[in-house]
Amino acid sequence: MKKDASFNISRLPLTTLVKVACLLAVAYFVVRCIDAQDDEDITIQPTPIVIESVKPIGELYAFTAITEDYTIDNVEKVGFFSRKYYKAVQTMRMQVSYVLDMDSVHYEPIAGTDTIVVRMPQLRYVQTAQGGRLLCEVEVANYDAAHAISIVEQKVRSKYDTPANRQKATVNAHEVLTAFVQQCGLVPIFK
Amino acid sequence: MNSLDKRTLRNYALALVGCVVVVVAAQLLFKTADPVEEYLQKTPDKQEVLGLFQSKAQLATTEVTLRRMGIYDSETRLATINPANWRLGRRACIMPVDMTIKYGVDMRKLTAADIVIDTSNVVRIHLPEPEVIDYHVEMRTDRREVVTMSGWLRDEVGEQTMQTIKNKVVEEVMADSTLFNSLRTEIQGNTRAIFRSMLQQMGLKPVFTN
Repeated sequence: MKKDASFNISRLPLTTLVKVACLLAVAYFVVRCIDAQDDEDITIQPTPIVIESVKPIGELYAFTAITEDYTIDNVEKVGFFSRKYYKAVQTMRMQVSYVLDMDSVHYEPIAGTDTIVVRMPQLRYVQTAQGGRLLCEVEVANYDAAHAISIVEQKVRSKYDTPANRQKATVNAHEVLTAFVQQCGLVPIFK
Repeated sequence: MNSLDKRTLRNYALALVGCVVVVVAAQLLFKTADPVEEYLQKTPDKQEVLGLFQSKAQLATTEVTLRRMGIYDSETRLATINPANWRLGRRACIMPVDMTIKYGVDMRKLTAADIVIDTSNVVRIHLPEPEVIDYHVEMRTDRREVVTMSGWLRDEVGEQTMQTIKNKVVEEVMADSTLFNSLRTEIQGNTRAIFRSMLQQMGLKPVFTN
């Protein structure tokens, strides 16, 4: 009887198949284990910077802080047989500032004197995101951090946008404008 | 139970034990610290250091809106001996990063020597060098504008990687002196316009000496 030299998986002993399957599963698992995400692994290719607009503004930054805050969220990862929830931390680095719109500041010199009336509007609270990180044990493709980002922004706003800070910022804005007006040889009166 | 069955059972048992040992060993070997706990432990220090308000006198005169494509493409990498640095398969992400940068001058750098007034109400003013006052990066990702790709051995590209890409793009844009130099003339022009408007309202005639 002629021996069939072709490979037929159904003729392999069950134990061998099990061993091969186990080895493949282990290899896959090990590779997944070592596919750790680290910032160093991610390098950005050089691309040009496209300037979309340049516009003149006039904003005096009177009071500024750089702060970092976070919120904890749950990230859902759906596997083959189960769904798991992981804890994720969304951090945000923000600059918070009180800004004076210089176009709204009006100067009215009083004729025959060195005195000038300065009419100043209310300062505006501004916060800008300068970066952020999502820290989680696993990377989930369909997780949208918009909600977590909003929570962090709200936390920062409630912490820094306070009447006391606004008062301090207003005092500082007065000092800055006073110094400038005095350097120009005039005496300001704020209204 | 005959001898074949015993041998089969022994093989099954050995394979199972082998798997368990390898999985446990792999987890112990490659387990990294929990990033969440790590961050939470550091947070109080960070807030103490960073969270203080400081009085400023920075006048932002020019707002620049820009976009840079963040392109990350990682191919298979097996060059190192350490398996923790191996990357099998491709993982890529292409996404736009939108930023706003505000440039201007620090008014506290204006000294008495920089402002000279003539008898005819002409002010000769030497403006400080422009600088970055504030910048903002849009952290919310519009998924319709993002292209991602990953092999079956790699993690899918998600928000975590996208935010890392944004941070890296921002770092590079802020460190790029070419951008600042190309805008310098425009920033100086806008700064002069703001000072001119202020000084004219005060009844003074500005002359810029730089």
